[in-house]
Amino acid sequence: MAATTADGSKVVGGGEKSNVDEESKMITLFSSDGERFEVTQEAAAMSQTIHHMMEDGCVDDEGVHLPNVGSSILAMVIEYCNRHVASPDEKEDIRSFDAGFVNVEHHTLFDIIRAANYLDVKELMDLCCQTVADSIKSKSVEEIRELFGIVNDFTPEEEAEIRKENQWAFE
Amino acid sequence: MSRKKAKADAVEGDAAAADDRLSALSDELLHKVMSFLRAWEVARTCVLSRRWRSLWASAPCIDLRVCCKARHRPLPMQLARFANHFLLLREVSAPLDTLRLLSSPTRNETLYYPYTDSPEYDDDGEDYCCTDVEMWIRAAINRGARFIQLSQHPRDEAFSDLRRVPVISCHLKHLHLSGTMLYDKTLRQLSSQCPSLEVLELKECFLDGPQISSASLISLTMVECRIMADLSIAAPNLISLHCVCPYHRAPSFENMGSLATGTIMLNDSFLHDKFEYKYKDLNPDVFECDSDDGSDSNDDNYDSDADSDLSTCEGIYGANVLGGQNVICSLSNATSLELIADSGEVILNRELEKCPIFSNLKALSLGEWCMAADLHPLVLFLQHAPNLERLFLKLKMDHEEIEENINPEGSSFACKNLATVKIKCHEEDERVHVLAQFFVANGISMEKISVDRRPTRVTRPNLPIVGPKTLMG
Repeated sequence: MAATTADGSKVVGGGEKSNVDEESKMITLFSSDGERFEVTQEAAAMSQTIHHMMEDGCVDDEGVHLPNVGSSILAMVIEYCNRHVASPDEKEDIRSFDAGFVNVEHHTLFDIIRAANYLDVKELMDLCCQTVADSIKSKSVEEIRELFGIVNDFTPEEEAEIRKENQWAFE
Repeated sequence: MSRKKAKADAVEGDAAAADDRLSALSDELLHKVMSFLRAWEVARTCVLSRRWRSLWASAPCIDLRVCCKARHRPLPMQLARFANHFLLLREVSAPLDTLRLLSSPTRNETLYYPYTDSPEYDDDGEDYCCTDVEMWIRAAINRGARFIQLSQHPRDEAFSDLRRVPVISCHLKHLHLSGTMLYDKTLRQLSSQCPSLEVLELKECFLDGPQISSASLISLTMVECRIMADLSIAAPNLISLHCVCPYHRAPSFENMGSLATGTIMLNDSFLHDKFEYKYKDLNPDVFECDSDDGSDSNDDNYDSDADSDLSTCEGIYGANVLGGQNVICSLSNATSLELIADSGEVILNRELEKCPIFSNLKALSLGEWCMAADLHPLVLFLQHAPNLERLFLKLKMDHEEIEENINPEGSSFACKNLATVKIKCHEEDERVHVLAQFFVANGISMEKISVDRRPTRVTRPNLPIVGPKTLMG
């Protein structure tokens, strides 16, 4: 049973009757802002959330509504899933795809993390969280605050107190 | 789709708070990010802002692995002191999901001075010893850890010993051990005192016990383990098995009815009692413990090309090849199999006599051993795998010892679903022509066959992959 791969993130499906088209095994996803995305069932199944819905027969003729995911982010998640089901064995290519994929602004990365969490796409979650972690490691507290725009809302006394209490963490 | 990362602009007051999207993530998601950091990096987030003050204390993943090249610096000056504070000051009610740590490079417990420098200890603050490691593992088990990963420190020349660690847990789901001794006591605990254990990964471990018998196990990986006594593995719910290059004996298998994927790699020069090891020179500078994806046992590392590398190890031949009972017939329900060994491998050839019908087998990968005796093992498999769709032959890459006269005439098979045959071999291996003719004679058309030819070991870049057209040229 060969799965057809979609070319891009948004594929206009033919026919209004059934969006779970038996022949090419497609499924329709709706983003929170009502945009429609056609994806192969194989790619959609990378989302455990959607996979369980398909297995439990909860996907009706219309498709799956994802009220928590906006269209631009959903497009990116679909792009990731399509790429990963297309050639799962070509590890070098996938690595460079992943590296390019996460080369986005932080707030986009966080939105993808939220979407990947909601959709339960483990590989994508791991990739994005690793990327954020990579930005944090080997940085000083000051550098981390600056990079992510974290406001230090401690008073100087409070901060000194915490550092003293948790001195063991800084030694 | 990719845009360059923009540096956070300098902001003031409320605008800054609006820009701090990281802190706006939920605790759960921030904990997920923290699971990719070391414990000391996690602890230090306590001073970032109020939102972060106690977040570290409920982080469910604790990663104490030191020795990680230039990353995750600065390391704590004294790991034991740090780790003990971390574990004790952590929020008591917060679940502990994962513990990752390295074994200790130092053995000597009596020289453990927590607060003074000692010439025994490493500059890197690796002032912890094996009793610390045992204690941290016990602490994790007591706090309901579901995943414990104990990897061998590159400077640790001995095995970790789990005899003082009761591996008894109804929560433990995934256990990864490398460089660890597992005696009967521990094997029994893993078998019957860990009812949730689903994934067991053993790398370069020392096993001295008669059995691993687990009803919960779903995935078992054993790589380069030293099997000191006859070992039987019974796992009725096992779906995935990787048994790569055991030493002294191959394990025997029973009760593997659920198996879907199996990889067995055997090297006879290791499989007898008298085998003596050649120790690799460990270069700590190249040691990478940063594989946060957790896989010590990558399939990548065990390409059968490595066969020729393994034979450079010194072996003492002459003794009987031990173990491996039922290794082939226990795999009968598999959908995907890989059986790699050199020519004349004793166990696989012996077990082939009991070859079952592989009705579910869709993908099969065979090493050089299948070519022996006029392709007898290969033919036998093909005759017993009627639904096979993909066949991979990974042949010997060392050209010198290839027996080139093979004549499979008279042998036939019927695999009506066989859609791809991929052969990987030495560039001068002339046997591919005989193989191709054999497949064609059995109804497999030439365009389904592809050949990847490589020179012996020394890499020459850009060697073209020879397609079926030039095969007969």
